[in-house]
Amino acid sequence: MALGEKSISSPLSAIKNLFKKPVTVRYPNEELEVYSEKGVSERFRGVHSNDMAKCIGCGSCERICPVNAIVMTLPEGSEDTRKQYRPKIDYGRCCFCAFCVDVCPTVSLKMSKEYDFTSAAPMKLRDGEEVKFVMDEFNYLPTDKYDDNPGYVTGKKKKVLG
Amino acid sequence: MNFDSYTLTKIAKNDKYTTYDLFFGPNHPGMNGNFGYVLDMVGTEINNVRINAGQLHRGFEKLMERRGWVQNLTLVPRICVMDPDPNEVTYCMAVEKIMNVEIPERAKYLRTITLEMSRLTSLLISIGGAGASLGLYTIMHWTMADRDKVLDMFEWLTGGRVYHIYNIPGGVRRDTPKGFLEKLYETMEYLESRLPDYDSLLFENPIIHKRLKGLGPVTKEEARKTGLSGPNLRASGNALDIRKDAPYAAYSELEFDIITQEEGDAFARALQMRLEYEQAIDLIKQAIKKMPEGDVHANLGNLGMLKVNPGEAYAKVESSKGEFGYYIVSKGEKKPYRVSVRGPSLPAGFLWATKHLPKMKIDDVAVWMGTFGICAPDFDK
Repeated sequence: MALGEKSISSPLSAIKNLFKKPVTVRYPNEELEVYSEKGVSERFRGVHSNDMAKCIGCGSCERICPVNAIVMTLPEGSEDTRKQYRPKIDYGRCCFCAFCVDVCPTVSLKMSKEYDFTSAAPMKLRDGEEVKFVMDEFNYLPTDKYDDNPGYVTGKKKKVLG
Repeated sequence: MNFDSYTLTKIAKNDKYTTYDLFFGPNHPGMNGNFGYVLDMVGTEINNVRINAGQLHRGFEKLMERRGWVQNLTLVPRICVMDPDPNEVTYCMAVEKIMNVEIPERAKYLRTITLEMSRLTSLLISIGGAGASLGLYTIMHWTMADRDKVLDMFEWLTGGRVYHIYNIPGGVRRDTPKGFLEKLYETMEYLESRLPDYDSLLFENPIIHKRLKGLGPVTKEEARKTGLSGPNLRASGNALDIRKDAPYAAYSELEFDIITQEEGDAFARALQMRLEYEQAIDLIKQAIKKMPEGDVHANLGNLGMLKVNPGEAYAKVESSKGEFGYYIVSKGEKKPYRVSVRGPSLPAGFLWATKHLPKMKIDDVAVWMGTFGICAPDFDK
């Protein structure tokens, strides 16, 4: 195929785009319509959700995590046995690779389509308090809060990482 | 210094700021990535160039020695953000070579598709960047909008838009979602329908021809001697392509020819990117049509606890910028003993910069970098 030099007016063919609809959408009033549902894809890797009843506290997710974002912690009000520990995720470190989801033996840990991390911060905070506030905001113990909006979920039959 | 050879006005000759050092680094909008050249300028012409690398050094190779075999997969795509999949595939291929594992047929095709989609996203940035560095921002807006269509497909297949982390030793992580391949085929047809617009705006534009023809020429022999690879090598007339010479994934089952140019200048390199873009679309279409059914990953046991038997291997992949290679040494532990990465941008970014940039106008540096496809993280990893 030859792509030779053509008339100086050939770039003017771009003018036809003046009458096209824009490719961008006005988020949050509109959402992208690429997939069967509006918004992000069905495999989107967003904020985790964890079925507290199914989770056995094995710590596989903690071991596979490449960035040490997961720490097994004891939720308030539960007795101190190994099976009661649940993953707590630091979203300041999480890289959303979803290896923790792939490795989960009971398929209790999932990822949802939630991607909005913003939260209102109190205006009057001292330096040290602000750091602690942000750390608490980013450290999140996943519950079934986002279970109705599932994203990246590995089925039990299709083991990926064993 | 003989000032007559330089483009100086009479006033500038008497100016005490005639010669100066210009830092052409990350602060410059024409620079690709966090990397810099210190240019000794005379007027608007470059007299000498000093390379200023090291601003992007993140120590990937050393970091990989401290993480498990699978954990490293989150690290490798970050070596080249524009073209992340060759890193994943090359790393996995090297691990599979040491373990002596054959991956399923369907996984091979899925790897081919992700590699070519990644090539498309990278070439779209390069083509747009070539236009933008000449002040033609329309093409940049178009290519970025079209790149988003490919990223949407990546999001559907893998869950991530930029860092896909889709390949694992033994195959790929997940099978395609329902309706994905049909939608991907539609997207490829859309991208193909956009090509006449790109051509009329950029590749058939007389101004682009005038600016790029004769800029930064590389002869056939020099290209081989200096270790150029990929589109830059083929733009100088060398018909060498790893996809043909040492086939990996499913390339041996797809039909394609090696595209070459003769001139070896900046225009030939830009045209080469454009033609390889078209070829990548065709390869994805072929792979979709020939895709077999079956498993997508071989059973290697618990990959979280993976131990690779002692050995060493080098695997290479034809990325959008050239040969990406991983040399991995294993001592039979849970972590690699040594990983060495070969990035394709080093000969162009270091060696050809010292050859081409002297006597070049400052206006041409950005587009010279753009046509070479220099990706700073490749050599500053």
